[in-house]
Amino acid sequence: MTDFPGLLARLTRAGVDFVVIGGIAVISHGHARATLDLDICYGRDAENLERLASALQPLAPRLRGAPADLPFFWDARTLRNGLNFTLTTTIGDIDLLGEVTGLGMYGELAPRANVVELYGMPIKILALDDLIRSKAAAGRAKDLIDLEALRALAARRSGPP
Amino acid sequence: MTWYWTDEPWQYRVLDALPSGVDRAQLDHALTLSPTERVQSVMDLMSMAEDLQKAMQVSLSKRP
Repeated sequence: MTDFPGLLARLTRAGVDFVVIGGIAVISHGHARATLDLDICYGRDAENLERLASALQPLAPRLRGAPADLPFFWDARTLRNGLNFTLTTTIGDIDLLGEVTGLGMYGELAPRANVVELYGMPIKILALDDLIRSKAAAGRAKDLIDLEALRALAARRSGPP
Repeated sequence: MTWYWTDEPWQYRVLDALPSGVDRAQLDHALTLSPTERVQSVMDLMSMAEDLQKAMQVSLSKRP
């Protein structure tokens, strides 16, 4: 079970630059569906990699689905040498994306993101139009289901009240 | 062109043609939980979803 508020609080308190994407972003825009992990797109500058590594370090992150005895060292260097990570931690699963298919990197998404005040924290959520583009680009079955609902939501938002 | 009869539902072929979106590690973890824990997990998520959707409405209403 993923402690979503706990993960968001840890990232925010550490000053990590990130945008919430994936299932939680889908839910925030109004489509009711379940998700088991927090997906974020994170900034790739050196300072942010340090902040992100430090924020998750106490949660003992490991690669999700990897054998338990597979050595995995978590630090900014690991982040720098990779791009996308699917992790499990002591408070739940988190996916870290350095680049979102069909959209680009943090610097391109962040200016268009919606900033919501959640549990007293400002949280950036991927904008609806960007979410639609990313779902179309990902093209998995679950993305196509999301895509139908998100396009309907976008049409309702832009239509007459 | 040769046509072969198959009993496989056509939906299976559509799903097989798409990139997989199934995280088997998460499925394995879900199977370690009791049904009560799984339901509790979804209820916790839905509670957060409600807070999140209210926060999004506030954010959108402030936009010009």
